[in-house]
Amino acid sequence: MGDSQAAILVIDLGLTNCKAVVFSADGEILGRASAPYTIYYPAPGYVEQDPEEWWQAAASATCSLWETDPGLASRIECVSVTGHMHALVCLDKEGKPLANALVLGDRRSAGAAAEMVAELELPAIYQITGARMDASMPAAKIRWLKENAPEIYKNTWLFTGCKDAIRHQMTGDRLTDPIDACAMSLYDIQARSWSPELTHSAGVALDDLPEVHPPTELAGSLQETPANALGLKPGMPVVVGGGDDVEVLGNGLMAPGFSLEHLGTTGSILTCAGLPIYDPEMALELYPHAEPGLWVLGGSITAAGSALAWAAETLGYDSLDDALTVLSASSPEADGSLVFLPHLLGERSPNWEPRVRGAWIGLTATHTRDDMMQAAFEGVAYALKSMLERIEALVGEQEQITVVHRSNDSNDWLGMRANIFERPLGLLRTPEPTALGAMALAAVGIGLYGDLHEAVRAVTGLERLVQPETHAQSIYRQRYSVYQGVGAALLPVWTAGSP
Amino acid sequence: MQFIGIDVGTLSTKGCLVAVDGRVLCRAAISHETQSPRPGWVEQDPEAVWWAETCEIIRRLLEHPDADTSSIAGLGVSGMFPALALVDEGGQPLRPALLYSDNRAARELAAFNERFGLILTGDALPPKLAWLRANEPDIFSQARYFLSSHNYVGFRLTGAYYLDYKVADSMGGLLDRTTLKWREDVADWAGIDVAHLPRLCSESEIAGEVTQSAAEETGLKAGTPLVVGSGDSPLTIISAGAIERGDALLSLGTSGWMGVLPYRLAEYYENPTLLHQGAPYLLEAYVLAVGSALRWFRDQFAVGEQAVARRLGTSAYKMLDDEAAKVPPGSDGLIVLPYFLGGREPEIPLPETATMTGLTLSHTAAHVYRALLESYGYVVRWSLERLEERGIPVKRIVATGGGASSKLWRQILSDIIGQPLHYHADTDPCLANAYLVGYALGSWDSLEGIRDWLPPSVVAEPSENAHLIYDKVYHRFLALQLMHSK
Repeated sequence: MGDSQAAILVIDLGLTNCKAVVFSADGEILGRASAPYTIYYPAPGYVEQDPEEWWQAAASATCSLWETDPGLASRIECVSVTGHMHALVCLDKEGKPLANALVLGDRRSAGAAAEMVAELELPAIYQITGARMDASMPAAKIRWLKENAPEIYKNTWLFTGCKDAIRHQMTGDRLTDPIDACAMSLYDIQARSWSPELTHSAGVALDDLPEVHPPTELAGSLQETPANALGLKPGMPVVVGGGDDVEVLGNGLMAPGFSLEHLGTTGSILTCAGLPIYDPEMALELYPHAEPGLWVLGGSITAAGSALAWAAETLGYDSLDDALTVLSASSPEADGSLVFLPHLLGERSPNWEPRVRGAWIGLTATHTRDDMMQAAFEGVAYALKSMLERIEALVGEQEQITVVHRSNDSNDWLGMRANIFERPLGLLRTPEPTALGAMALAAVGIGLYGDLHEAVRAVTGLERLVQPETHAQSIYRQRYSVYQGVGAALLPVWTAGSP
Repeated sequence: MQFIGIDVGTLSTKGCLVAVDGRVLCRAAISHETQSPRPGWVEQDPEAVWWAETCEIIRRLLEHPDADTSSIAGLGVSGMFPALALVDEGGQPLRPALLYSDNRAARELAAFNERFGLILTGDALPPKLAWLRANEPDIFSQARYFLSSHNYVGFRLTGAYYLDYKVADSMGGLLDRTTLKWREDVADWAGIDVAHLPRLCSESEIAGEVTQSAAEETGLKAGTPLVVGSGDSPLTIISAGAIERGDALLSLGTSGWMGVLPYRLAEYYENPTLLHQGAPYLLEAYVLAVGSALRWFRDQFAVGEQAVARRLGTSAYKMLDDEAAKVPPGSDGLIVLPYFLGGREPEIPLPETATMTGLTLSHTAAHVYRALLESYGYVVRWSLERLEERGIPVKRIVATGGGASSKLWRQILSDIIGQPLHYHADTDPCLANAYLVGYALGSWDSLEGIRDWLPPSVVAEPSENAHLIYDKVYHRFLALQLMHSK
């Protein structure tokens, strides 16, 4: 246990805003602020963000912390950055972005991804990178740039990602960590180096890629201009950090047998594995854990919270919180013929079918909007369960699923998920598991803890468990099989030629 | 010469007085309700509702300053069907009539279908007769006359016990279409004597003349002729000017259906054996919840619009139309299978529930509403294609019913089917009854002439571009429907 006065600043770049969170050495939140930025949709299928806005948001959120608590800045001993993964940032020799970043949902490189799959074949790519190749991958985005934006491609000095671009702005380093390297789909997860096959197919020179270093290593120190922008002392150590899957650490996942649920705009189920377990069906993705020797296996759905927010708005509820009240009046004994498929942005795990769409199936004139909303909550939970099922098929039963628990969370919604997952839900004490994971890396980096196991054990914990109920479980199990059946039946409607 | 037309509907009795040139001199209507003493039972009192209201309506029509009782050439009555009123030897109803929607005889229906190898729905009368025989034997044994709504009124007006072939055919297996006689085996099963069933007539015959006592009750002259007529929907179809082979009426009411003439109407009147070929009209594109699906949307998705509409004194449907009009044809890929109350195509298995799919984050409630409007268009197009395959190309379609007042919906339907869609704001079976009297009496010799009585129709012309967009969605709609029919 380190210095009790020491504090760590985490910059957490999400898809819609940047959070600045200050943690004490034992993981308590000392200050929290956020600043938004824009998602640009310049053309159909194009999804962009401006790295300059990331930086401005990071500075603005951080400075507003010091305004609230002027004494806090002087306690900061290290900075750790985390951010959304799969974005591609092109920096020039001066370290300036040459264009907007192509972020997660950008589909322009679907053709380039398909070409790479044709060249290398999907199973081979999956074996190297642990993930499928698709339009979201920076590898495909680089290939697209080479063909379609040759000026940017030629002038790029460093192809990098979201958190690495922001940390570069702080220290001038050219580093990344294995998690974000993996997210580029250019990295060989077993050899722990850039893959010759993938980099060749993407058309990127090794010189133009960052060096991969452990996430707990110090990347450098804060330079004067960025230090001023952030209101911190120049020379402050900055840790390499990790992509936002460091959420795994914030959930305390340091041993096999435990999974986490991420339920934001997107939804994920991730587990910690002791061995590199490849999914023969390539339904799940595999990548290195921040702790050497451990692995992370899991999958995500593209519309989870966004599907619920959409359903609530479309059905005319005032807000998602308002819509959540339908669950308190419902019971799993109610007529369960109505099914919602949440594939509003196509399907990723476990079926990987971008053409599939959302649906309400089994509607009758007696269904109310509350029934439809309830079906939407169930449908999102079933989509998450389908990934949990796949994880358990590969690595065995999970003892517990940790979830983020916000103070205004609905107990009915937590209970429904426990019953649908048929596993206890562990409600995290921290409301910010991603930032907490990034904090743990910094805490090890500056020696507050001897290693990551020790740090994670010290900073994470559960508030309580939500246990599933036997009767409700069995009803939801039946309905889950209906959900799977209609999903499978509907699939050919979307895959047999597009109008 | 003046003519009177009466229609006994489920929710109202209506009548009109028409001059020889087709001008409607006056109208009258009285609302009524159905009774449901137990779940699934749907009843109405034939005497207090059907007959008393008809008398009242005729009296009101005759009170009009332009009415001339001495020049009333005749009258015609249509009504909802098949209803079942049991009347004793003395002409007194024995109990409230069972309406077409009465569902009490579900078990008997299953047995009946099994026995005769049929796939009849709850409309069928023999199962209801069997139920009455088993559950109300005292009443059943006294029944001498079995009457639907329009011929009950005709029976009271003239004393004649008759029924048109079309309604007889709708009773569920009782009529042998090839011989045009009542079927003894079915009557036996139901426990009735065929001798107690009404005389079968062509719709355009004269059924009888108004009796002295009916004259006193209605104010009509005794001896005024009554045309046989038929059920409400056959007369509604006529009132839309659907007379020729390939003419169709598209009814956008609570449920949706299309009546298509496989033969000229006059040809069927001369040769009722054409019933066997689907005359006078084929019931197509029958979807139970069409208007009611829009109502469902309004109540579940459009709570806010309803409140605003009330405040502004406008209709929520009008507001929803305005929003849906901003959504492009094809609703950006959102597709609805509109079977909120199941499908009703006897030969083809259809989904039993509705589906809403193609959903993406960019869809709004307005997309869902437009997709609902479009969904019935796909059902109609599917029907038109199957008719074409059977050699019955549909040439002229007239939309009617409350839903047809939506200009947007008419345009969507026309674009989807790729042909013009006519619209009459008012298709009134009473007017067709009045016209049919004149035809039966020889005042005019063609049925087509009713079109001269109708105001010009409003026509939605299909847009080529929209049709091409809908064409692609239509094929996906069919694939989806097939998927859910299994």
